[in-house]
Amino acid sequence: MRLVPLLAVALAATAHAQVSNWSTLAPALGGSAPVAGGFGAPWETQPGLVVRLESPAYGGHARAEIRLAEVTAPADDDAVPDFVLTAPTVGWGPSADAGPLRLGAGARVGIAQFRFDDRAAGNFQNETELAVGVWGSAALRLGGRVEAWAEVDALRVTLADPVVITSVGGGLAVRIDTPGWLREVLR
Amino acid sequence: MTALLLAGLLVTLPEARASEAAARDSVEALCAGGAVVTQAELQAAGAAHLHDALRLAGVFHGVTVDGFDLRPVAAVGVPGAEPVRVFVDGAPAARGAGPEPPGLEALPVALGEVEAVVVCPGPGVAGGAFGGPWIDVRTGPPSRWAYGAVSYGNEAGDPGPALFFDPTLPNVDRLGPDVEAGAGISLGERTPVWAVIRHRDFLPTDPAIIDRTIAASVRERYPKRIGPVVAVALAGDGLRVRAAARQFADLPFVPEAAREIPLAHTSAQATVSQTWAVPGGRAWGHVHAAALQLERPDWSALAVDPDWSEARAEAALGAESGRDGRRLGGGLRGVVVSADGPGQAEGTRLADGSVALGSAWARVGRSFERVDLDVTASGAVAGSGVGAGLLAQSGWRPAPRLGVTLAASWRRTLPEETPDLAFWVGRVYAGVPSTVPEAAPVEVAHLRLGVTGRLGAVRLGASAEGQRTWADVGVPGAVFSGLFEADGTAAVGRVDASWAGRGLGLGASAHARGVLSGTDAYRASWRRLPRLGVALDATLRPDDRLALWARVEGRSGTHWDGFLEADLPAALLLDLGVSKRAWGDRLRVSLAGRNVLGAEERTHPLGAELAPRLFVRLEGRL
Repeated sequence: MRLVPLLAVALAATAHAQVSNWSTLAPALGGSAPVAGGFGAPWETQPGLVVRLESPAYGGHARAEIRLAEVTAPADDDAVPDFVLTAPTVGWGPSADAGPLRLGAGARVGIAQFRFDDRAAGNFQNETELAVGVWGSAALRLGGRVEAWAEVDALRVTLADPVVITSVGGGLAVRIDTPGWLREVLR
Repeated sequence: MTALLLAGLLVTLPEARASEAAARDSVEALCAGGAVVTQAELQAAGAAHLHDALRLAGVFHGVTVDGFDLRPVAAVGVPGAEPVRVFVDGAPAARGAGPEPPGLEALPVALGEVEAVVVCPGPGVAGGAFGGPWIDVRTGPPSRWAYGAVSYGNEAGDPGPALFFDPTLPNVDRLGPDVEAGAGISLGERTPVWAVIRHRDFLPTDPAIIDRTIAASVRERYPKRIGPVVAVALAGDGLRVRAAARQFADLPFVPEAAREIPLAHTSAQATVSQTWAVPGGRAWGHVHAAALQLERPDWSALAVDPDWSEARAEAALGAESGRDGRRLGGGLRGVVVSADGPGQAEGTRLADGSVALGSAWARVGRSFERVDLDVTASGAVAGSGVGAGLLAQSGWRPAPRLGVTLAASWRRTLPEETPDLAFWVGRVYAGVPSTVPEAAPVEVAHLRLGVTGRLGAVRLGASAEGQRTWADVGVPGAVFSGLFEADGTAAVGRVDASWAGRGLGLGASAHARGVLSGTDAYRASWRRLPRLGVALDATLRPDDRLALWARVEGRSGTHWDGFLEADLPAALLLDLGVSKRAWGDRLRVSLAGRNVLGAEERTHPLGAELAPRLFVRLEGRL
């Protein structure tokens, strides 16, 4: 039953998809801070970095992004290591323009990789797990090709005990015309 | 041209590249209750393995212990006892050697060369012989010049950082990278030649089986099912040539032994098939030869040494012709197998490692204005006796958009037709332990009534079938000892509907099946199949470069008598797929999610619980 709204959104999105697919690229850089969820005690998820590439596609925007954040443990607990959480994902969502503002939402899927502190982790240094997420975003054109963006994001890491990290973030993006050869490749 | 003539052509003329729509329409004629899964459908679903075709077709139930290699099980006869016949381009293809389980992943085919997969419950003529359920994988050159693909999967459910609080939690990878590559040239406009190599890497390390698989290996790291398959193929002007070799460090679950057994598999095979035009029809034939060897790998921790060598040769010839509504056809097939392995007494070998099987079939048909009638008869002779088959099928078209088919069949299958581990144990083979009794002939009588019609753009279908089985067979699973009778009657009902509009396709199907009467053993074998199932699927193609696919399937639970955990739960499975072409048709990237809702997906009481899993596949074609 969840498919019905998904299909409806996708159908609506395709109505004006033909002219603008992959017409621009928006590399974005920003930060995010966790506001809810996480790995639980004793770990604490720190503010992290967001690197993203976004392009209009099929009535919305497609994005590929990497999120990095350090997850720290108490310094006095040698048995529990710090680790770096890296989450590369791809996603798509519909968007709508309202003057200089563009509002959007979407879903993404990818993996979450944990890189543990070498000394504490011993042989167990890397782990990879599925990750899915949703976002809601707003982007404001500041003038020229520069945009400021802000968003709320929830990432669910499908561990045996699933972890959900809700975060808010923001940053800047530059919207450029996609080179013809790259547009042809993406098309 | 009648339904059955079409059937013969489709099975034996795989080089004809039918369009998707034609393939779908033709499969109704090819086999009652069958399905075809096209390359486009596999791509839209983000398929990363050949067994995804089984899931999409929905005709056979797939049973897996390790989550990697599904064994197709048909709701025919004694479910699970009769291996489904598998062909490549309508001709034989060796998968495993005699003692190996007949999964699909051993097939020497790369996913990138699959043009369609036909799944048919039978009975009918396929691969040059009359028989029961079959799968035909139709292939073609994956690209004009060069092809490459890599796919990678990940399954949810590892502990992640929680491992530091409980080191005993299982934390292993289960899906390795699969790599395919191919190259092709064209010897003239209609004679492509291509080669593919496929390398599989899978870790049989699900928590449900890891204790067994770890104990079977002396390696420090987790054991794998890993190895390459190389195939070279040529197609042109009615001719098909295919040669393949496979070398696998394998750890399959052997049902008859009720555990995973390390195997070093080495095999080579070649098939040549040809079709000719004859007045009013066609003739065809094939020759096939294979050599397979199983050894105990040096990493095995078990004392089991299969020490198996096997050579097979097969030839078949057939023809069908028709004029003025009358049809006539027939064919011959001969198979010889020579095998060698350890016998049950210390230091002895198989007393009789040879099998010879000869079979023939004949078909007559007549078409009237609205009615087609066809009768196929077959006979087979081997050391264990005589097998036979009879299929009478009628097609009636009471209205332009309505078709009714009635098929009645009976067949007696000989063990020599599928010489598996149980068969060779009957010849005192002792290289792989088995608790399943010697194979014996199976008789199945079958009656099926099917109705198909169109209501506007909606295609509707319904069928009801009943079958009677007489068998003295063992059902794989280490449950039974000694021969037992598996006689009984069963019924299957099915309805389906599909609709295709501009850029959107929808489908729905539902089935119910169960035993009406029979012995305890017969009832036990059918309880291993889901009694009820319903599936809905949707494919959205916003343009010719992007496909979104979703399928939701509900299946009832199964019961496995004799196992400690006998009841497997019902499941609601949601599968998703996204496929995008790029750079013309040179690149394709797909994402596939399976069981994304996280239902308890299990198909065998000793097997894996398949958690949500994601597959990424990248293909390049030049």
